[in-house]
Amino acid sequence: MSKNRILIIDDEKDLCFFLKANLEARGNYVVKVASSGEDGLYLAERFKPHLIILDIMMPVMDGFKVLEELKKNPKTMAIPALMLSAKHDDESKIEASGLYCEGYVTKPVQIDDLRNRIRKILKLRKLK
Amino acid sequence: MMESSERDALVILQELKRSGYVSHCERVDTIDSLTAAIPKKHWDVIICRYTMPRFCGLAAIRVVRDVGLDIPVVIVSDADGEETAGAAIKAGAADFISIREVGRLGAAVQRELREVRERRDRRRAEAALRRTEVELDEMQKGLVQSEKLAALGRFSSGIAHELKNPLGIVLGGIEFLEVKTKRGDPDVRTAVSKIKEAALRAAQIVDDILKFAKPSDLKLDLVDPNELVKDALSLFQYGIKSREIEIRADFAKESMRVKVDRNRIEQVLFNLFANAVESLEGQGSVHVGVMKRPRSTAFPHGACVIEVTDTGVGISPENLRRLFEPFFTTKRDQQGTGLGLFIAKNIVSHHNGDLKIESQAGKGTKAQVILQLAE
Repeated sequence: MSKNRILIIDDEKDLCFFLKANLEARGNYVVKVASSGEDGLYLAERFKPHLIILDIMMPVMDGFKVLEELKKNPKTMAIPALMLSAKHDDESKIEASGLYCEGYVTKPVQIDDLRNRIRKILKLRKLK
Repeated sequence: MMESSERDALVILQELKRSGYVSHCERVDTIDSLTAAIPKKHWDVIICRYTMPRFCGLAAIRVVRDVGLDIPVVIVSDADGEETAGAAIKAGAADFISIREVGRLGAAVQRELREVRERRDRRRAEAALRRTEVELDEMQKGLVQSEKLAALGRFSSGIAHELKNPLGIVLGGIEFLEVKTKRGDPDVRTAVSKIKEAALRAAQIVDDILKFAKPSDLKLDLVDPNELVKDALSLFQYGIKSREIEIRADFAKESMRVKVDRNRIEQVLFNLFANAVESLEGQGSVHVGVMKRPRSTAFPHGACVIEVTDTGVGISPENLRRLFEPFFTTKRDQQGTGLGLFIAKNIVSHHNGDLKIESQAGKGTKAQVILQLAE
């Protein structure tokens, strides 16, 4: 069975390193990391991920802007996005859902919880 | 009137009547009779002879002053020397009139009555001002307190957010090590598992701080408190493992409505239920009651009381005093953060309600959430 491709867009490089290592070690995934919104948009087109994990609070281009751009681009608009953020208030969640993201997890996230969320989103995607 | 001479008393009285002032006059001529007469009526003015055989005008002024009443004393005298007048005024006389100028008495009384009225009005205004100042002071203190809390909320929220990223890295690193040490030294695996527990606890504290930091964002709905407690209780009971624990509930017969953020109050109730069950240490009972309380100053529309009583181990008086302090916990070994009741109290206060806890060590605890009824 081919591995699902996951793209993580987050400016916290150490966090990305462990997320990538843990997802690849515990799940059937190939993970690529982008440490800025611009890099993320570029990789989303080239790498064609099955799912994007997207941080909200990033310098220059924040997660909402990245999500907006992803949804505008015909090549990336169908990729489900899971928002990952330190923001805890409802406003961020509502704003995120208004932009059609598939879910929202707050930092720090446990790898098993994250894997479950990813699995559910990909399963739903396949059913569609 | 204090006057020993019948003739002069008549002259004074006639002058007062001519000026249209006297509706009631009583004549006394000793200090005892003056002391006895003062509380009998609300006197507007005392007219007093400067010298009498058994008494003097200055003593009359002292008696009135000692009683603490604001009654002007007008001194009438045979003499009209400046020295005598000066002594009387200095002692506190309102005016000094020679009996030969008794025609001035009406005007003097009129002026004194006006001044008394003005003084009384001023005193009332000053008292009202003092009351307002006290109220303003209390409001300001309350405002400063709520501003302090808001600032503390913003500050702690900022710290909590800043901690989330490093915590994410710590947790990610631990989970990475879990995989890498899977077949390694058991001591290393134990160490990793202990670090993970601590990191998860830190994450829980950060979450709790954020709950405290945002208590004012309430989504208020009109809710039936009976339904609210029923729902919270049925959800909570799913999680209870021990069959030795009995939870009974009695609901209010009257229909009630409270305007609350359902999720927040459920959070408070969960906290109280969990505390009650934990205090039983595996055996005993918890009683949950919903009651209506009549109108009071604090709750002008009446109140709803949600009471959680347990037969558990209770709380010692010294711990009871510190119960609502942030980070105070007796359950450090059971992952308690010490923020549960602090946040619960904060949430109830933001609903203009109150959270009270009474307890006796060894006998049990009673927690009351008191919520304002909707208008």
